[in-house]
Amino acid sequence: MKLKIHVVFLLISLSLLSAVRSFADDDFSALRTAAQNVKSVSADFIQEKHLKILAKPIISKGRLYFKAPRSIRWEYLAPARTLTLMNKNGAYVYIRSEGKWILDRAQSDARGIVMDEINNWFTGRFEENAAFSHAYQPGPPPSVILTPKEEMKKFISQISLRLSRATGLVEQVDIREGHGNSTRIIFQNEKVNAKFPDSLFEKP
Amino acid sequence: MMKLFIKDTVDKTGYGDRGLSIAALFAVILALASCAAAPSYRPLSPQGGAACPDIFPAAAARLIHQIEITSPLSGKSLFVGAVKVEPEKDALHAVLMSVEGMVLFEAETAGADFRMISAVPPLNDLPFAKGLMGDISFVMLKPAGKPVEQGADDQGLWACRWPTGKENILETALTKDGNIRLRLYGANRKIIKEAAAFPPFDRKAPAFIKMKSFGPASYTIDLKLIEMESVD
Repeated sequence: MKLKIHVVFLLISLSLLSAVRSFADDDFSALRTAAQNVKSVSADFIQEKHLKILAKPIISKGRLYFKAPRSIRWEYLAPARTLTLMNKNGAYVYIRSEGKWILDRAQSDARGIVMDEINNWFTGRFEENAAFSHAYQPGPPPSVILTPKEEMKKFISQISLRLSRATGLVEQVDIREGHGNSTRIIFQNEKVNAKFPDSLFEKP
Repeated sequence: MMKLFIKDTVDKTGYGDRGLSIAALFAVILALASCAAAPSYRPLSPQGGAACPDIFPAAAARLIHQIEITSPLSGKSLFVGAVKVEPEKDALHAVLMSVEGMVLFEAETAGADFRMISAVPPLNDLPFAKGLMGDISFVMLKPAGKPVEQGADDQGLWACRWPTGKENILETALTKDGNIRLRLYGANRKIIKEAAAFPPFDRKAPAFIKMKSFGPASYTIDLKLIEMESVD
């Protein structure tokens, strides 16, 4: 009799787990679909850089514009002013120096890799980068955990993307590095599917 | 000074391919052969009385800088640097980051001891990494002991000189417009690097430092103080 109860309990548990798993998969699929339907996004962001040697984080503020399929304007407004533009021609990094925008050629090519990754996040394509494995956590809040596979492990131990349940958009990014350092980016005032001129992604 | 520039530059690169751009920048810097007119080294006219001008934090502190490096071939790049300086231990812990917060280089020194904590290639090259920390020391750590010379330089500026590693001489001078000038002379008494520090000064740390290298590599590094806090 006791054994029977255990078996029934086990079966119920398994079926519940299965239901939860199925719900989670459906949920992730819905979030990804929602993100893929987003044509444009604008948002403010706050970046907190936590270093082991600092008592409080370094706070940076900026603004993001995204337009499907692959246009990004990623601008830091304070304390250092930099701007990355990604459009059909590639990625371009500008720095603000002596009141002018100056192209930083040394960093432009490499920044394209980062912008591609951000583009993947905003279009729900979390599996796109082969350097990371991804796992969905239904939460709340729902999150995608990106874990580096090979060389990237030396620099990043994990990236966590917190998603909006309403839009599927990334609301917060947490990047865990080694040696007690980490970065958090919080997106605020997100506006979805507003119209932007292409020039926003082409020149400072 | 050169080392400081390189360090800051290096700190800004990213991962993987990003390291390539740093490598390129590094190679460019090292490849440059610039013959800037370097100031000559002359004995100071002995004078006494005034305190030596300096920009070195007197007590343990954390400083965050915006770092802009300019080199003739790669142009301008922008980074963020964080440093914890502990003068009583002759110690530094420095982190160089991209504006996006990616750590490109992290190392610490205490006296002659050096430990590289993490670095994106090519910044993980040991001599290079030590050089970077030496550059930071140039503007952050006051040499131990008393100055060996105090007096007026050939421009009439009040200056002090200390011996520092490898028979080098560090000179600080107060300029007529209230800035503080730092110079590092090599064993042959040719200038290696120079920095101009501009007010306001917060617990001696200047709001802005402009550094210039002399010798085979020519570049400038601008350090803008974002924040400073004392270490309790």
